[in-house]
Formats: sequence, C-alpha cells, structure tokens
Amino acid sequence: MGVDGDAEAPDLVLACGGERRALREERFAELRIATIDRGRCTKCLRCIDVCAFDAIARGSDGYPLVDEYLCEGCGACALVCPAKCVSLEPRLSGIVKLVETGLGLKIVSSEITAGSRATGHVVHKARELAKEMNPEMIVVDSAAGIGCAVISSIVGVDLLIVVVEPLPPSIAGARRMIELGKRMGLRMVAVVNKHDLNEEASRRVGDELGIEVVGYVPYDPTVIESYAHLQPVLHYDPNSRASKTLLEIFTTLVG
Amino acid sequence: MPRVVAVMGGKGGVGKTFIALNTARILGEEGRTLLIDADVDNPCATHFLRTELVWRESVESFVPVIDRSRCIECLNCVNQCPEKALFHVPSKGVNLIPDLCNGCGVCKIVCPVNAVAEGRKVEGWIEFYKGTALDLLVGKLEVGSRREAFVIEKLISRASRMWSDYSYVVIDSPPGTSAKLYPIARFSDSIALVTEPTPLGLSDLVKAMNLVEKVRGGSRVVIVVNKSGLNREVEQRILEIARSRGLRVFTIPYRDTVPRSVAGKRIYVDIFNDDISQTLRELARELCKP
Repeated sequence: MGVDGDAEAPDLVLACGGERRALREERFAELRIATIDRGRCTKCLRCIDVCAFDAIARGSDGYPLVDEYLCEGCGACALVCPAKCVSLEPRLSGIVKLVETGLGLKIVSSEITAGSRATGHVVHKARELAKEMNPEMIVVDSAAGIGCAVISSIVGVDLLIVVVEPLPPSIAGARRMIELGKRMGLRMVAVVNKHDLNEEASRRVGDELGIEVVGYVPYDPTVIESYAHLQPVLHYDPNSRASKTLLEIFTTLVG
Repeated sequence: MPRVVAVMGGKGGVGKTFIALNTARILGEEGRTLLIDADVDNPCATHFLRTELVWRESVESFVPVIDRSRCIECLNCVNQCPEKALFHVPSKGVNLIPDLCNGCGVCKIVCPVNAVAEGRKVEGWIEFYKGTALDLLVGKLEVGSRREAFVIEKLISRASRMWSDYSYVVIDSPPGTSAKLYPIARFSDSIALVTEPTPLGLSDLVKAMNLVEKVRGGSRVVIVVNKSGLNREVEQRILEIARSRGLRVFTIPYRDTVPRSVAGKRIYVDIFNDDISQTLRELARELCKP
C-alpha cells in the first residue's frame, strides 16, 4: 500500500492513475487558533508579551490581533489573560483519504488545508490509517527536504531509500537526509537517479554518502511522459530503460 | 524600500531556484540585489554563485530547563505541555524530549515555584554571503529540527532589517503550501508561481494559487510554465486558469540547455543568449514593475 507523505503537494494518487473512488476519508481539526473576545478584553496586551511566536500584535484600535498563520495554538495567551477572554478554536488542518486509483492501487493520501501548519500531524495520520489496513508492505513517498513532513514520513521505517541525482545541490541535500536518518537510527540505501547526467559523479556517490547504492536509474524522458499520462513508468512502458532498472532495484531490495 | 519578489510554487523540482537565480542575476544588473535562499531544508544557491561568507547567526528558540532543586513535581508543566514534550519519571523528575518542544513557554507560565529556567535550542542558521554582483542571505534548518516555518519566519524578519540597502530582493521559496510560506508571501510585492505542464504540476499550482490568494496583500502574481511542451492539453488548462484569474503567463520551453546550465552550476543568462534568456528578462521586468 502506498502513502503520500507530501501533504503540502500530494501527487502520488495522480501519478498512479488518479482517483477512481474514495474508500475512506477523515478530516482533522486538531490544531487550535487563539481567538479573542473583544467584549471582555481590557487591552492589557499581556498576551502579546507572552506569545513565543510573535503571533499577536496590537491593532490600530488598541485591541490585540491574532495572526492565524503564526499562531501555534499553545494557549500561553489564554493562561496569562486576566480577563479570561482568549479561547482556542479548532481549525480544519487537513484530510486523510484511502483511495483506489485508476490502476486499482490502494493509496492513502494526505492533504493539509492551504496555509495550515499541520503538515507533520496529517502525515502521521495517513501512516496510521495505512497501518490499520494491515497491508503486507507500506511504501511512503516523502516530501523533499529534511523538515517536519519528512520526519513524520520516515520515523520508524524499516528501510529508507535516499534518491539522489549526481549534481552538487542534490548530493548536499542527500548528506543532510542521511545525517537525519542516522539520528533516527534508520537503515538506509541510496538510488542514483539520472545517473548519466554525470557518470563520474555517479560512481562517487556511494563513497561520498557512505551508504550502499542499490541502483542507477538512467535519465529517461519516458518517466516524465508517464506522469503526463497519470501512470507509473513501470506500467506506462515496462520496456523503457528506467522501468528495467527500477525492476532490478526492487528485486534486489525485496528479493 | 526595495522591490521584493518571491519565486514560489507548490511542487518540488519545477524550477523555482532556476527562475530565482536568473531573476536575481538580471535585477543585479539594474541595482543592488539581495537573493534570499529560503529553501531552508536544503538551500543550494551557494552552489551557483561566487560569494564569500561574511557572517552566520543561529536561530534559537526557548526550551525549558527544569531546576530539580526547586521542582515540587506538581506536574502542571507535563499535563499542560501542548506538544507532549515533557514527561515525568518518578525517580528522575520532569524530563524534556527536545525534538518535540516548540518553545511556547506554557511550562514556564504554569509552574507555581519558578522551577522552569530559560534554555536555548538551535533550530537553524542564517548566513550572509557577499558577492560581486549579488549578495546572498541563506536560511538553513538544523538537522533534526521540525521547525522550518520558524526558521523561515526569522530569516525573512532578519532580511527585512537589512534590505533597505538594496533596490531588489528576490526570495527563492521552498516547495509546499503550508504556513511556512506565509512570511514570504506576506512580505512580497510580486510573486512568480512556477509550475510544469503535468497533471501533478497543475494540481500543485492550484493549491499554491489558493494559498497566495488567501494571504497576499495585493501583490502582483504571474505564472511561469517551465518545461513547456510536455503536455499540450494540461498546458492549455493552466493557461485557461491563469486567464480566468487575470494572471500573466511566461513560458519556458522544455529544452536541454536548462538542465545543462544547472548541472554546470551556471546561471542561464550568463551562458546563453536565446529566446529563454529573453523570456527570463521579460519576466524580471514584469516582476519589478511598480
């Protein structure tokens, strides 16, 4: 079963044939936003001083104004308010959905409400839902980077596949990824993508990153063509160079 | 005040850094320009520019340090910690899981005996590089931190304290559509939303448009369709959406000179003078129009 861990820009369902039908959908409103009752507020502004996120500012009329994009919903303002005029209101933070795709694959997709800060939360929920279905194997497609969504995507996995291109920015990114994976105690292997962009750099990737390289996928225009047709490349053209390499890699990994 | 231009787009790998670097280079010919690399997970602008590190500052947040001699183990802090970062072990007192703490300070407020002291935790770094044509401010997330939104917010507010020295500021954003993009969108006079003509690119573009519409304060928005020609049908739909929202579109064809410039760690307009360079120049002009 697949899990789309890129809750800010989920694409896995689209890349696997699009949504045929939704089997289950859960909405989350766990995060809270501080809301000030102006009727009771005495404009003491203690809430502004205590907010660690600079999420409250003094409005032109003297009342405190909460910036909903900066508020973390911690409730420090409510604790210090002498007039007890701050309440914490829930906000829709995201949706987790179990989907059957056009190709008959089952995927749990995660999606945050635009502008929400719940990315990690929603990814965590998506992985929980996948686990509940009790499949033989779960493949999580993580977001790029090393931040909140990525940490939630990789925590506790049995194997982390680090995808890297033989270009300096990508290798620098992979190094940070591996540092994070080590901190989290994960088993890691690397796959070099578009290896023919720089053969020599590709050969050095394993040494530079200090983890085993399990495969080298060639730069193959069929891959991006397959996205345009809403299909994984293995399905779109099993005889393409990329597909053949991918199959070899999966056979090595899964046996 | 400078003209602040942001290069955004929901999807990763569509060419945001490519557009930001070229825009900054072109504007650098007109006036002093600061490029801000806000892709704090994996900043990579330094790979493309000849610059020298001038200073480096840490981005820190509050973490509680429990004073065991004062703590009466009432557990107010443990029970009220919104992130569940504090836990209690009977023989060892109150302990912190630093990776979960978001620095809100609720523990300090609810402690009746003042046993919570102020500690600091590094969430990231801000680095300033001086270049010949272009200066660079880079935000970098500390490995293991979940708080990229916090680092980006501090990066942009640090930048705003120094950008009156510049005519132009170009911000290279991270991918995504969460609150971490808010400080970037809010401070920008104009925004280029970069996408590619695939169903994935289209889907993420619509999300990015909705985010920008929600938070922007009247900034100019344009669409950049990179890798044009991949899928005519999807590209047509992007053009229709742009037209219906009254947004100007710039189109960059799918051609190998673009990845070649990136692989060679060069800026496109420095090594090619063709129709793509022409479009990049027009885009830069549009973005800095008052």
